[in-house]
Amino acid sequence: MRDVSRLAALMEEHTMQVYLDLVRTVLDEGTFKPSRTGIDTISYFSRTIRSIWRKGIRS
Amino acid sequence: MTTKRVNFESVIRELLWYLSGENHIRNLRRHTKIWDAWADADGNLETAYGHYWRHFPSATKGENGQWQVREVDQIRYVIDAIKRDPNSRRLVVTAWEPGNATTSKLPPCHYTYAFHVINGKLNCHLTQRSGDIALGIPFNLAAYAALTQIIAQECGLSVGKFAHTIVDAHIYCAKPGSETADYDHVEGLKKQLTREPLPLSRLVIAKKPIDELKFEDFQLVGYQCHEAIKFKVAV
Repeated sequence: MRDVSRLAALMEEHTMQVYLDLVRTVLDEGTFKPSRTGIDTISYFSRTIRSIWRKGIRS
Repeated sequence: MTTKRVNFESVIRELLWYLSGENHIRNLRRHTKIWDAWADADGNLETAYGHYWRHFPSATKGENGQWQVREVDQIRYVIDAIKRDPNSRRLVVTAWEPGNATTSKLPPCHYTYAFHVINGKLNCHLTQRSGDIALGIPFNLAAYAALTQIIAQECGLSVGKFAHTIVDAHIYCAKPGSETADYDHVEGLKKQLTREPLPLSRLVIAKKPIDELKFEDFQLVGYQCHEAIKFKVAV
């Protein structure tokens, strides 16, 4: 399972990247959708983001 | 969150307010304005996450056919359940009360979460019906990281993984020059995307019983970030 620890190391380096990827996905693949607030949105249906906390919480 | 400044104090004040179980913001609003738009003049809220976390109304029908309501402290429940049986698959907290949802101005966005323990590590899975990517999500990420660390410390575990499902993940947008132009988040986020992530900070929480934690017990060590980006909140 050496890939798992490699992935964990990568994730730690790139926890911020997880959020930026979410921003990019919604901007690039989202759909125009008006909202209750009167402000329109770019909306993306169902996204799950994952991160790994190592040596305590880092965020 | 290193690619823009997030107000650490507001995140922790809000989390401690959730944990207090209060259904008003009379104490919270002395420290942060983030909830003011959704409360009445007296600081009362139709839906307060923490009130449901700590005092969820559970109804059962008694022998006389009448409904009897008791309050459930879901935080106490998950802590006790983790300590008793870390293998439990019932470590769920919910803030969604269907009756309240039909009438509230703002039913819970992040409405349920489940903990999961494996190899001495506490994982957390958060589900959110609606997520404002620019403003809300960075706050939620930080708050649930802190919450998981609090519960982990209380149960003698370390923290593991975080998963976060957002059903409607959205970015507010508006045409330049339009009436709602100030509420556009797209340009700010595009700017944020150009920034290089910085080394992550570390949260240190005093080892105290959960109900005794105060803001001063939280310390964010080595927080480096790019400057704040102004995003206006759509109410």
